[in-house]
Amino acid sequence: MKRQRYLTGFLASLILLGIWILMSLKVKGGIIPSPLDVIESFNLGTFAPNFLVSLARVVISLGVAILTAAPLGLFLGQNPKWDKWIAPMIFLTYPIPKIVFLPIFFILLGIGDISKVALIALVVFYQILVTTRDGSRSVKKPFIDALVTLGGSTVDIYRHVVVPACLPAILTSLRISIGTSVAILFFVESFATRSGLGNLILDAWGMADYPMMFVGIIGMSVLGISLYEVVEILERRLCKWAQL
Amino acid sequence: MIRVQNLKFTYPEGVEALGDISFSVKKGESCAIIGPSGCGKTTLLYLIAGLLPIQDGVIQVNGTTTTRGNIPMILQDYGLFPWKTVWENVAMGLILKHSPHAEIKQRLEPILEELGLTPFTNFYPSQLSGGQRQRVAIARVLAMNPSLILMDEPFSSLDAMTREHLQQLLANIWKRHNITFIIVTHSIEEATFLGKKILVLTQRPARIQAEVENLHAGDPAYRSSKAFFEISSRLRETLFATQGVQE
Repeated sequence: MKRQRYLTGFLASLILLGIWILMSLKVKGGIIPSPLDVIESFNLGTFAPNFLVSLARVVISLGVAILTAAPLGLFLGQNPKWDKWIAPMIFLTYPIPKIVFLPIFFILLGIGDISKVALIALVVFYQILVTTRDGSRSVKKPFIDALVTLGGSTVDIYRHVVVPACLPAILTSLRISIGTSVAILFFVESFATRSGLGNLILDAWGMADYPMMFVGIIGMSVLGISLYEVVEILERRLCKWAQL
Repeated sequence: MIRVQNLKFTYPEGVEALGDISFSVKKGESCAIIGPSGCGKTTLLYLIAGLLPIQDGVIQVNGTTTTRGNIPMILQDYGLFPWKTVWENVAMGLILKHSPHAEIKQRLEPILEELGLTPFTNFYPSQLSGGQRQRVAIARVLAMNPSLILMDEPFSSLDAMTREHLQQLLANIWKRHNITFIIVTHSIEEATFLGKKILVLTQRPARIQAEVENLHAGDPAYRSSKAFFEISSRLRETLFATQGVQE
């Protein structure tokens, strides 16, 4: 199973590499550089600090979002009386594209990292909140009844029933959030910063340094894939029961 | 052991589930409750377990009013936690009491052995058959060392063979551990085999239509005896009478 997964991953990478080479040959003007040009322009001294800054921004944002949205979602799913009041607010604000708040965040929180982290966290907060709340709502009552008859308290209900039952949903929402957060990261790193992969891409674009631009694009992809893989590992370890 | 007196219950939506129920069960006795579908059998069990609040009437276990979490119960679909292994499921009541690990181990091992679950301790419920899952549910309540166990149609989703096997297993446990049982079932044969006392409930709002003493309940040979068929026929007639059905 594992071997097959690696094999298909390897084959998919080969196909993508083939498409890339083909496009670098076909598209005129060097806009799409060849993989070899990209390797040549790769400079660890430039790449690593930008990669680490972007990684930190995404990881902190995801951490803030999950630590606030998941407990709230679990609570609302189990407490319909509270959810009745909160749900309309979520319903009304969920569709708003949160990136439009960037200027407000810059004004309120400054142009440093806090405003960038806050905006990414806000966007993924909703995704995690809605998925977790729905997961918590669908926890079957017999599980809770069974725990109560065994002497479980309200804290025990969350610890032994609600949290483990919702963990697959929380991790799924986290996985979806990774893609979103990397996209928002590029956006927030386009403004008022001299660090991060987004800034590296835009800088290289401005100077028509397409191989360096591709270094940044691949860096963003590696960032997303690595985080995705971490969540996969977490899911395999924490939710063995859901994969049987 | 258990005294239920003038118990009435109406759901918030206005559905009157229990009319006026009074009965008592002695220590070490098994009591089967049978009645038409939706008559309030499960409501009665949930009230005894403390999962529903008492509105009117009295429920006393050993002279005191029942409270939430004092009486272990086996639910219709076993109520096993899919995210916990067999060991963790069985140990759950003791974990909630913060029992030391050594004590949990000492308590669980003979129970798992008795129920033939030792080879499956690291399995998840989804890896077990229906019969095995039900044995895990039984092991989980036995681990609590209870004096009273409540069961809500515990064998309803099992095939006939597994069902009879587990009924016998339950009867053996009942005799060996001297535990008081209250079992809700819709099966006349199950009630006859397991209930030393059988209560037949009427249609909703439930009242007790008949209380049948059944001296040989739990004996392996009882199932094929004349008395078994006579009691079963009597229960069937009473049940049909409550539903206005003619044989």
